[in-house]
Amino acid sequence: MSVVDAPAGNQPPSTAGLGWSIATRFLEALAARDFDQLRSCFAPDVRFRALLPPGPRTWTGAAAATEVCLSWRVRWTDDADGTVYVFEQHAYADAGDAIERMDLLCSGDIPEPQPPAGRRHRFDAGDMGCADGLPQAFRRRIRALPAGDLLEVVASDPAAAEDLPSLARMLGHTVVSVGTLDDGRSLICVEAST
Amino acid sequence: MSARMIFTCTWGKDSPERATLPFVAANVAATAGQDAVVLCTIDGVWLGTVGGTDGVTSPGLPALTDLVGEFVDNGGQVWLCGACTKPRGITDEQLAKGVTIVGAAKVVEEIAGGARPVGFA
Repeated sequence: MSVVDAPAGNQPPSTAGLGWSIATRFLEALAARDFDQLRSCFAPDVRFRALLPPGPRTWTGAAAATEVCLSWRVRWTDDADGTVYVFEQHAYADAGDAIERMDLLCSGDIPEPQPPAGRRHRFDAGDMGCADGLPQAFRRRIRALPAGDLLEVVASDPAAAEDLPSLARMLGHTVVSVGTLDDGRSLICVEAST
Repeated sequence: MSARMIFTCTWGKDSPERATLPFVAANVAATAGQDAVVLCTIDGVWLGTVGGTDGVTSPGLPALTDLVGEFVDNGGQVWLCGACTKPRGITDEQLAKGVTIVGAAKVVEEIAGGARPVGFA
């Protein structure tokens, strides 16, 4: 997400002097799924228009606009093949002390852009499990990667789908996805941290 | 801080009382609204398979099949140690309802997060 700050003066009284814009309040409320704060960002008679995959829609009023915003999806994983889909939402707003008009363009779900091939590293762990050295092998490989690179582990051990994410988290890395390949093996994708 | 309780179970049907008691305590926890897990290791992993609790009874204790079913229905989870299921040839396809195979890292993460291990037998 990016925020284009509104012109000076568009600050709700409660945050006057803190330099927050209505756009920032909106995004923070959306991220926190705070219904009340989100609703307070809209003018009572806000006009909310959206161009969605099924077609154009229009809503009027703060409550309706808030419900629409909270129904947004931004990312989901197809458990069948591990494909990650993202939604791009572009919103344009006219605002004074509150958002008076908002127009939204939704991309619909699209496959998440893949990083350059050089940043992905695959480790076929075979049937290794926690007693066979899988934790140690995983740690050795993830530590060898620069921050931001992805390690994709393919494993047939049934505990790997639960175990490797736990291990990754404890080591401070980010679990990107956990899925199952067509042949039943687990595919665990972890982003290396610093 | 996690409020989860992890009840360890290391015995199989060869020792019905030791196999049943952890589930008795875990089911009490689940009935009381606690987040309860039974972690089965060694021969206890057989208890997590379909039919693995058949015929397991001990005087004064409920039949283990009924008890495990009630425990799962109360929200409890049964975890089988992956290092113990593998040499016994136990796979995902053989697991009973509410049972998952996990490895040591999963358990370690839980304990590091505040889950409390409970040894009952």
